[in-house]
Amino acid sequence: MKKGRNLIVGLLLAAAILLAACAAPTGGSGGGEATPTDSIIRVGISGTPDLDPAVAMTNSSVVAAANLYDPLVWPTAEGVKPWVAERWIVSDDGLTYVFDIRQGISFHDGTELRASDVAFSMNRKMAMGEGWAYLWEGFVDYAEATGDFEVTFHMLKPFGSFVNSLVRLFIVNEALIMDNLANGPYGEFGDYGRAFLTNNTAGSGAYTFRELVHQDFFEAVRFDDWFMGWDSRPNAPMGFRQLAVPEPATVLMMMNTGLMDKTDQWQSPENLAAMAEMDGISISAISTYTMQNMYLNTQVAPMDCIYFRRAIAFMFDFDTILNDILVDSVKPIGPVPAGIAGAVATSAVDHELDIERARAYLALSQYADTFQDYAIEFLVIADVATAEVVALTFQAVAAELGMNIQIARAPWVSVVDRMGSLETSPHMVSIAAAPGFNDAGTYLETRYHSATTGTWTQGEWLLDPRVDAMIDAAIATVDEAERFALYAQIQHYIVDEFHPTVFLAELTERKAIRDDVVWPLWHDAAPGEIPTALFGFHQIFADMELNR
Amino acid sequence: MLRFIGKRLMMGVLVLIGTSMLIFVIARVVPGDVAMIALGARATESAREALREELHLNDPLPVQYVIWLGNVLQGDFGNSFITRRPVADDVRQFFPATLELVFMSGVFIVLGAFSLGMLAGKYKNTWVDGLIRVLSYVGIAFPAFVVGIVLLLIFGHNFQIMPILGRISPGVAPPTHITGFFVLDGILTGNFAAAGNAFLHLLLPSFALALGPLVQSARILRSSLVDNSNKEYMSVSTAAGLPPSLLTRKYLLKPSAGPTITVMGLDFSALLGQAFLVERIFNWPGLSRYGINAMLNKDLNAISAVVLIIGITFFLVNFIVDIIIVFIDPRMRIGRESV
Amino acid sequence: MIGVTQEATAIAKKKGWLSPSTKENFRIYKYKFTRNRLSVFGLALVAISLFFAFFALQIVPFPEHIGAFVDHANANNPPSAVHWFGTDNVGRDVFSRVIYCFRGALLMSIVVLAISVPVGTVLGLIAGYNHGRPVDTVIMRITDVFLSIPALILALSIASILTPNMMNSMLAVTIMWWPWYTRLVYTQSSSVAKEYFVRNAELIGASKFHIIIKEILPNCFSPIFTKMALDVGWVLLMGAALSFVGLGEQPPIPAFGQMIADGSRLMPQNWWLTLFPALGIAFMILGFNFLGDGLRDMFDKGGH
Repeated sequence: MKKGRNLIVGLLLAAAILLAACAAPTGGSGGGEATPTDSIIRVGISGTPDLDPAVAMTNSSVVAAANLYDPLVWPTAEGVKPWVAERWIVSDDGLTYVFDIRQGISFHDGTELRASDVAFSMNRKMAMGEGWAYLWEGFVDYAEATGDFEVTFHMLKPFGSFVNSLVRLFIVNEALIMDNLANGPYGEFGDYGRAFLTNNTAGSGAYTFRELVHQDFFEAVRFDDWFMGWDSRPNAPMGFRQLAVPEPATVLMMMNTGLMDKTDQWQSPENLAAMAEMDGISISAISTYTMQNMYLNTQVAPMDCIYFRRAIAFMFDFDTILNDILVDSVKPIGPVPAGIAGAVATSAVDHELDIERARAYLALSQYADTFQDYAIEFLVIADVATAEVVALTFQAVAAELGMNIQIARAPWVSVVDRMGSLETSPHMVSIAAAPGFNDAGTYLETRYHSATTGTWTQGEWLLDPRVDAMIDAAIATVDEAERFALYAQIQHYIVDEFHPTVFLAELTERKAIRDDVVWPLWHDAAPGEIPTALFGFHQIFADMELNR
Repeated sequence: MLRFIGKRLMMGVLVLIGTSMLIFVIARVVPGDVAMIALGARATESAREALREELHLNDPLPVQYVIWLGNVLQGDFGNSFITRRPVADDVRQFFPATLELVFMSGVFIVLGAFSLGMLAGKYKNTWVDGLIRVLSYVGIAFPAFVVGIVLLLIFGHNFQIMPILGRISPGVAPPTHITGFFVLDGILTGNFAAAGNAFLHLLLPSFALALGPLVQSARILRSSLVDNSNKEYMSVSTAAGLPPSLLTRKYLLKPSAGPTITVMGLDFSALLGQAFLVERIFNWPGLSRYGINAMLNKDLNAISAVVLIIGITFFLVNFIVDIIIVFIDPRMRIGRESV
Repeated sequence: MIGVTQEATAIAKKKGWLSPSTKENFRIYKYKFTRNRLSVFGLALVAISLFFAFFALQIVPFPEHIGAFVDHANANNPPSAVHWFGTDNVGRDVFSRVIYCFRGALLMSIVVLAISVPVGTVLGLIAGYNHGRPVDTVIMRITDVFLSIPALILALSIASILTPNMMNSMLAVTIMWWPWYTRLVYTQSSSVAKEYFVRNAELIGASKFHIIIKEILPNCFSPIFTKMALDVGWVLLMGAALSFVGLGEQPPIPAFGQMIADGSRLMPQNWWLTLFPALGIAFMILGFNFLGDGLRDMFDKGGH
């Protein structure tokens, strides 16, 4: 008996040691003192960020990038303003850009930001080919430092709004990255610092890396030597914490108990209403030029008939969508969000719920007698509370017309995966897309150019050479007025000739926010007005104030 | 005895090799274009080709498997498509939290099952027994994720007396890393505030996980106790005047514990499975939450790592359970050795 | 040949392997089953579940709320006289939808067991009859591989890689379910295979097929049936877990797990969206568990 017990104890001990061995030290999550929680702002967001600005594409990553790194130029409602670059000139043929870099910008490790860092950042982005690199793919040849504080970009072909696009070029610290290379596919550049930047930052931005616990939270603290200075921002948060919180009930409780200051934009209207009733919480509303699209796959029967697609556009209950589901959102005027440079109103403004017109278009369609036989797949992104409600509302209308709509839910990655090829693309899928920067042309390219089929930004599979040629020509036009005229032509052409998309709403992002947080973008807006900012640049924590 | 252990271990290794093949097939053969899933559609073709090269996707399947297994044996599971860092790092980060949770559930199950089971056995056919029986039906009927939601609601919303989310409160620094178990690390480093805080966080999720297996094990123990107490040696021993406490402990509980422990071992598999949902509900930063995220996002390298590691853990636990049972009940030795 | 079988049957009866005549049997079974009031209660719950499953569309107050239907004006109403279980976020009647869930849940259990039980049984019989031969080793090692990973995790990983829908979730659960029956039947049949009435039949020259089907299989029936009744509850749970994470029935068709998951997003204010589907699944699981316990008592030779 005794002996037996000893052996059991021994075995358990052995097991414990084995387990402890599995649990060898992890990076990042070690001890250290916690920042006082009342001096940092805690925001809910989906997922922890990817800290490499050359890769960043997810919600949390794009927001993190704008706060940890400095872009070459900063977006404004009118265009861009100098940031890391002080001034720039472009050659007459539009093939060479020369930027003067501001002196005295310090990276987080204390070294000074120079032209070589800017060139390195662009070349790195192009070599890695992920994230925003697609904006410049085919346009930018290479970048080189032509002085300590002068950088030259060499273009393969002209790109009319190139400077506007550089809000997505975040400057990384070349020396720091080169000191931390791992093995990788980029020759002398190894992995280009890919592995290093999963758990570090190499920027010059207002905040700097503190701690990242994957799928849990990311925390950054103020960078005291930020070149914009903190003197005029005494109440700015000492740090920010992005909380990855999946369950809405969890978000509700965290807001209620003061564990979170601001939610993400995916909360259901019901939850927002519940939070609005809690003490010290308000509901904010801003827009990030994000279009809630209903992609119609133009290559698959019966969706390959334009009359059928027109019918679909009159089966969405816009009143309910804009008032009850995507609350406070705005009726779109066409393919491009209204605030974006080069957007025009098209015939898409006429879309409304009109069963009779839908019926009339169905009758014109080549599938007038057979559309009932088709199962039309409507893909819905799981975890987006409102997407399914839109789908169900549409399905109910479609049922009246005898249309068989099959709703399928899929997590985001599955949706992206399925849209990768025409064979697996659904008939319909509702996806929110936002321009990468303030320009209609590049946005139209990501939405309708044949080169962007197979990506989540184009579920339409338009595959029309004429549209491709029009977009290519427009983007390469250097003169702005001329370029905008071409943009307008494309927008009308796409809507009138193809009608590939139903533009459901220009999304208003509603978030619950605690009253002791000042978010100037929202607080400074006139009552009833919905302020707008480019996505990622809408949450600049250095501009916010904490009054605790 | 050693022969038994050796044989079991060898068999286990064989099965685990089979398991690894099964996992490989699930994660690599079924899904389609892995490079597309990993990098997203926006990546350039050259970036994707580089990844295909890195994952050896252009090689024949058996070759891919051998390379993959070779890497796995060196602790290299490849990079996660979501966290973009080595899966092995992720596993190291998340696994202790799951083990801590499951271990705590185990404590609940063992303590709860033995105390409730003995109580029910002692007061059989009284209201105590009845109450425990009803509890066991509740435990059977409600899945752990439902129990979790209910607990979250009661303690997170109605009575805010217990922490409900994560492993430790945001204002409390986690203890210095030794084992990765926050409670244990806290005690070892003398950081009792952190240990206490982590312990409170542990209670609700581990109870949600434990409830089902706990009440079922209690029922099984109760019926073994009742069966064995009807046996002749019990009445003989009672007549011989042995003290009741000795009787219960040595002659009643010991032979009755066998089936209970076997069931507990099997419950462990259910526990690991249910942890996948319970961790999600309580935002518990463990391997199971990581695993379910990996599954929902088709993070193939992570899926294979998580499933394999859970397979290994499951094997180890069953192995330990087998040995415990053999020690408690020598009769089992003969039967088990021939398996 | 027939004589041999009869003789074997007689011996088997004596040994308790086979039971007496059917009529006699039925009376004993009925007594044993009804002796436990809970199993009768379980039978009643199962009967009600079956009734719900088959006649859901006829008995629910709002059958149209199961399919393509929205009514934003009546969304998020708490339980009332009209909507006993309240309405959901698009105004559908929760009571109607919960009742309809019984159909999918039952269908899943039936399909999963209808495929995995025969497959598992046949493999178990083959392995058991060929005890110790290579066939046995191959089958049982494959079985071990499938049993080496917790069932729910294996099912989740398979379902997550396939397109999320009802068919694939049934497929995923089936793939990990058969090994349990293989193992059960294997244990049973390898011991029966050593019994001398089987040896006798072999000696006489009965075919392998005959021996497996006529001599060994009947001896495995009672544990199989008992396990099946108890397993329905497990399959229900597994299905609910899959649909809880979105890997099951797709909207608007309701499923227990899906309704619980959707409801929990609106917790705590819309508690009825979570509570009633949870009670629904508890109802079914309890029913099948009580029934399973009853069946086990019924087939129990010990009779204590």
